[in-house]
Amino acid sequence: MNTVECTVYCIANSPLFLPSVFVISGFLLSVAGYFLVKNSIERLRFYWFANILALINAPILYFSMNCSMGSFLKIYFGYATIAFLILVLAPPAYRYHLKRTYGFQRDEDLEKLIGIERVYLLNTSLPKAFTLGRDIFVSMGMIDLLEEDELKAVLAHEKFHVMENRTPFLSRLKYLTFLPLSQDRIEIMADEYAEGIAGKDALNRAKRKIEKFYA
Amino acid sequence: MVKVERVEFDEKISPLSPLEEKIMEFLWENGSAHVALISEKINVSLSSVAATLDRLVKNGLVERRQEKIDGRRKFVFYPVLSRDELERKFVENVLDRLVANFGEAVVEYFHKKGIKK
Repeated sequence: MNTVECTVYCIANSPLFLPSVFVISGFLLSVAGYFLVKNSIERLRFYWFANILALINAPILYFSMNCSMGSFLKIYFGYATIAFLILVLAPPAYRYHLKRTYGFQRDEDLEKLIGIERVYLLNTSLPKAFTLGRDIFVSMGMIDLLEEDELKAVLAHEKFHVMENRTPFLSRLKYLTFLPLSQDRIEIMADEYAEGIAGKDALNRAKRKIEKFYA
Repeated sequence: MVKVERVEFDEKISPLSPLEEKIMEFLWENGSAHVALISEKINVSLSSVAATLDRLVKNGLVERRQEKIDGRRKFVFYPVLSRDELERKFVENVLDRLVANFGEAVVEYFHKKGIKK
């Protein structure tokens, strides 16, 4: 028996067979939903759901393994533990780095413009905008460079990332479940969301200006 | 290897890099300016000017103030020190370090110079 055959055999004969079938079918439904839905926010929800179910399924598989072939699962759990620790520790470390190199403070004007809390103004004249967990960082250079509607498009793009990250465990699950949703795909979804709020034209102008700045 | 901080005595001794010099010159002449204007007038890319201004702010040579211009938020740069003040500070700094390291030789040198004059 190879690993896959063994896995199937073990699960089929395990008392956890039913819950496993339940979780796996839920997972498949979520993946189907992800591909069928057009709205980018709902897509993200399906994606999260698929990730949670995949993660719930991991211990079920683990405990239904009686064969010695289960070692690959042990390796996976080792990887998952280390990845989880890095994912929990990296954002605060990067925040500390930002505080030291640039400095930042909360900015009410930006928060009002996009209607979300925890928007920080980064003290640098280089245009930068990014999201760290639930915090949005926009630099002084970005405000200098862009008109208000363009700035709103950039903020909307980042707001999408906040929504993506809002449940911190979920957004990081992709590293544990290996479900493929590439960063490119997320960026496209964030752009679609920004276009819906600030208009395609404003987003494109903002992108061109930023590209020109660094050219 | 022990890292040794050196003062490079080439033809031009200056506390400023060539680009910093250009930007400070512009600010001293015009009193204040924002990034886009400086970049346009001294004909240097926006990103170089912005990065250099960041450094000048960090070193306390330039101050960045938020202002409303035509209802828009802008960040405007003001020189903190005049050219004279900057030069004096630089000379003091170099001499302080010379005295700290080679005190007697420095005092002797100025003593001799003083007698000649």
